[in-house]
This record gives sequence, structure tokens and C-alpha cells, in this order.
Amino acid sequence: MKSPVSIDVNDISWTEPRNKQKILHPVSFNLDPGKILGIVGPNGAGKSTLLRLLYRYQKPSTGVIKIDGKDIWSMSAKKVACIIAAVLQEQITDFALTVREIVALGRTPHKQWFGSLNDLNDEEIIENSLNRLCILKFADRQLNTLSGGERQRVMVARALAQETRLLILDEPTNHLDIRQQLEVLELIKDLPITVVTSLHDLNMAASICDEVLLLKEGHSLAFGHPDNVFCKSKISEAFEVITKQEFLVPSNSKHITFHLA
Amino acid sequence: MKNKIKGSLSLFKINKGLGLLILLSIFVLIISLSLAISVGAVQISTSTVWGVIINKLYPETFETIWSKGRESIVWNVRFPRSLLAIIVGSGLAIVGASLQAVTRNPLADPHLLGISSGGAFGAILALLHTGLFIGLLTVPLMAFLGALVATSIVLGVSRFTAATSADRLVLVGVAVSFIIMAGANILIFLGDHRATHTVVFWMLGGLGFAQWDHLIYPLATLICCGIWLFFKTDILNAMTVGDETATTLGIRVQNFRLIVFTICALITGVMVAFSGMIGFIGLMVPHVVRMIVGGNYLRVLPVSAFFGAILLLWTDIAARTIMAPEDMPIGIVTGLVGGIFFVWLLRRKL
Repeated sequence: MKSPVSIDVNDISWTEPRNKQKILHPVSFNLDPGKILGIVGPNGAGKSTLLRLLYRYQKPSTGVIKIDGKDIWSMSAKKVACIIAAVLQEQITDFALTVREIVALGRTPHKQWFGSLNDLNDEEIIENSLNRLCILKFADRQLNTLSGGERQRVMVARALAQETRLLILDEPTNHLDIRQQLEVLELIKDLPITVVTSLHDLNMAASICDEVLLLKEGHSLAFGHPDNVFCKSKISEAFEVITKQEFLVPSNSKHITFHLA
Repeated sequence: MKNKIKGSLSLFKINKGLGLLILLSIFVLIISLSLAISVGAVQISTSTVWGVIINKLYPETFETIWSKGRESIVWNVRFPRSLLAIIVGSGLAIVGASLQAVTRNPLADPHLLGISSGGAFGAILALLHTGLFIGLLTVPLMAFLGALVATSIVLGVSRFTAATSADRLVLVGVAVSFIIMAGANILIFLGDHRATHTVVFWMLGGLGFAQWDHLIYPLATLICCGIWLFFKTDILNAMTVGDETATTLGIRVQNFRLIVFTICALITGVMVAFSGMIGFIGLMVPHVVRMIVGGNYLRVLPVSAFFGAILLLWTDIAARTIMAPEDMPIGIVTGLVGGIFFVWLLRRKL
């Protein structure tokens, strides 16, 4: 495993080029190496847009994103792909690839001129990734024969096979049952690399994230430790609900509940 | 050192399956080739077929026990024709396979997407109107340009109408194809009436115009483009997953897609220039191949090339024998078979 990176985001914003609508207003934050950042907010808050800028799919309209002090747009796409991996919510069209072949795609940015063949080192990395997500048993099955949760694990395994120093996840717990959710979260916590993930569940975010960024309608409402960001007023403002901070018995851990009136 | 040896061993292991498959394909291809040359209005035994071919390549290997006429049929007519079938078949098959990956659309096919019509338009323009201003290369070059323009129109219209789903892209292709074919028909209508018969016959798709000194153009196109695509099979694999994911794998998605479209237009244009419009090879072959070898383009692409060649050889045999001694345009046969396959595919998908 490689060493984690730090992230410096300075005043990045994004405007939809067609209708000039400002989707993300300038936002800045820093993340130390190895930390987990959770991005939370209601639907349409700009979470996915921010992630797209971070994994270099779209170029910010203003501002700079630096990874370990280097602007990601000053590096080649391939170079960035060796540092940043992403697990997205794209629907995969059925092209009859097996689980192992999908995971092997993670090795693409590390390849030289003829990329379709894996050497022994690649094979070992692919095998480890399959093992880590417990999907070795259906490694030779086609992706379209798997359930949503299993597919999600395949995509995470693919990102791990990329051996990057930053992992970006877009709603990694969607379509997963309770056990699978806990397994993915456990895995994220254990990764020795920097992680940025969008999450729907605030209690989940509070339990695994070192920092959280709260977004609403493209504006950053708060950034910092979950204990500071998840105060009643901020959550009420972002989600337009009434929020209560409660304590679970007997563990005495904090738990946020939401009500309409 | 030890690791390195083990590494190359594992390369060998992956290659062995592919190698066996290709060896088998070559075997079937050679059998199909000798059958294709021997079958026809005049039946010629396969021993005569290979006798003539080997004697032409290495003179006086065998004693000549066949007539001059038969030698001419084998060497001047059927052999170049069958070679053209092989080249066009594999060309259209790899075009279909590559287009399917970069559009992430299992229904992509040069014929359905209007690329063939564009090629035909360009070729007709050269044949009936502009004249062969740069010699023999005029027709394939104009066909390539026509195919390229058609491709850009299809892409432009699909973006303009926001028709990004698989079915919609095919609808756009069919619509554009209709418009371009109407244009091509106007060109034919306005052209020299003595030449129109030949042009219409050529457009229906046929390998009967094959000549030795023309084969080099489609062959060179196929080899150059085929090798380029074969070296990009990992990117083709990644493209099937999705644009954003492919981007995070370090692929310049828009750029790559544009290059592949251009290469596909080149192959399609050149193939159309030499054999007319032969549809559905690009749709059928990759689907059947995926059922046999799975979805990895490292296998899909080369096996499709062989499969396309074999399929078109057999289609040509059928086209020549169904209404013998008449030579039915091959495009009619592939249209018939391909159309039925298309219906079957739609039923399976829905």
C-alpha cells in the first residue's frame, strides 16, 4: 500500500457551461493525509459535482485542487489515475466482462504500451483485491449475474486494484444491505489511504469520518469535525427538518434523529 | 529474476487460450477458403484449387493437370474474390466490435449507424460525378470522407436531441442513414444513366469486382487499423464500464472515442468502396463471439476478425449458389440473415 496524500482545495466552483447555472459556489478545505472526509447534504446540494471535480472528470470553473501540493490539472490524466481512484454509481452496460476482468481494469493506468496482459505482480494485486472484498468465489462470473450489493463490492475491489493514495466514493452504501454497509464502512476505515466519500446517513458519517463537509444548494455550510458540524442548527438549516441530538442506551453514543414538525 | 520468469510464464498461460482459439480459427478459415474457391458454376476440386495457388506462388511445384480456363477461374476470379470476402468480413466485424465498446451500445453497427451509407454516398459521388481525380485511390478516399461526415452527423444529432441511450442512438443512425441514402439516390438519378446500372449493382453489395491489384488498399487499411485497435483492447474494455470510471482510469475518453470513430469510418469507407454496402456483419459477429469467448476485447477483437472473415466467405458461397448461375448481391443475403438476427437480439434484450 502506498502512502496517503493530503488534499488542498482552494475556492473551487463549477458552473454548468450550457445554461450558465452555478452548481457549486466557491468552497475551500484541507484534508490531512490518511483522513476520511465525508461530504453530506440534501439531494441536489452539489455533492456529486464536487466529487467530479476531485476525481478530475470536470475542470473547476475557478479555483485549484492540489494533491500533495500539486495541481491535479498540471498532471496527465494517467498520472492522476495512479494517485486517485473512484467508485461511482454508473450503471454498467452488459458487455459480458467477468468480475476478475472488471477488477483487472484497475491496473490500466499502471500499464505501459500493451495494456491487455497482466504480469505476475498485477495478478497478485488483482487476487488480493478480490480476496479483500470476499468476491473471489465469483471471480469468474459475469457482472450481470450479480446483485447490486455484489456489483458495488466489485467496483470497490477494482478501485483497490488501482493501488492509489486517495480513494473517492460516491454513496458507497447505496443498494447494500445492513451487513454489506457495515463491511464497506469497516473497509474504508481500515484503508491506510486518504478517503473522500459522499454519504446520505449522517450518523454513519459521524461514526467513520474525521472531517465532514456540509453542503446545501451548492454552498458550503460547514466544514470540520463531525461533532462541530453536526449541531442542531446546521442540520436543520441544510435539510429543513427538526433535529434532535439523542444518546443511545446503553452505549451512550450520540445519535441524531430527524422530524418534520 | 525468478519473478520475471514466472511473470512471462503467466503471460504465456493467458496467451495459450487465445493462441489455441486463433489457431482453430485459421484452420476453419483455410477450409472455408478452399471451399469458397471450389464451389461455383464450374465445380473445381480443392486439390486443383491448391495446386493452382501453390504453383502461382512457387512455380512448377506441381505438374499442371488442369486446363488454362480453370486456372484462370481459380487465380483471377475466385481467389481474389474470396480474399476480398475475408478482408471485408473481418474489417466490418472489428468495426462493429469497436463501435459497440466506445458507444457502450450493443446495437452499434456501421450499417445501422449510417456510416456505410456515408461511405456509399462518397463513393457514388466519385464514381458518377467528380471523376477519379487521384486515380484508383479516389473512390476509397471519398468513401472514407463520406463515412466520416456521416459519423459526425450521427454524433452531432444524437447530442443535439440528447438521444444518448442505446436504442435512441440506433434510431438516430437509421434516420441519418435514410437522409444520406436519399442524397445518394439523387446522385445516382442525376448521374450518367449508362453507369447507373453498375453503381446500383455495386451498392447492393458484392465481391464480384475483386481484382488482384486493388486488394492492397483494403488489406493495408485492415492491417494498420486492426493492429492499432488490438493494442488498445484494455482501453476498449474500460470504455464499456462508463465514461466517468474510464476517466478515473486515466483514459482521455472523448479523445479516444473520436479516434476510434475515425478509424471505424476509415475501415468502413474503404470496405464499402470495394464491396458495396454489406450490412449486419458488425452487429452479428461480436455478439456471437462474446457468447463464446466472453467480453474481454483481448479475445473479442481478434476472434471477431476471424469470425467475420469466415462468415462473409460462407455468405458469399450462399450468394453464389442460391440462384446459380446468377450471382446474387451478397448485401441481400447479409441483410436477410442480419435483419432476422436483429429481431432476435431485440427480443432477447427486452
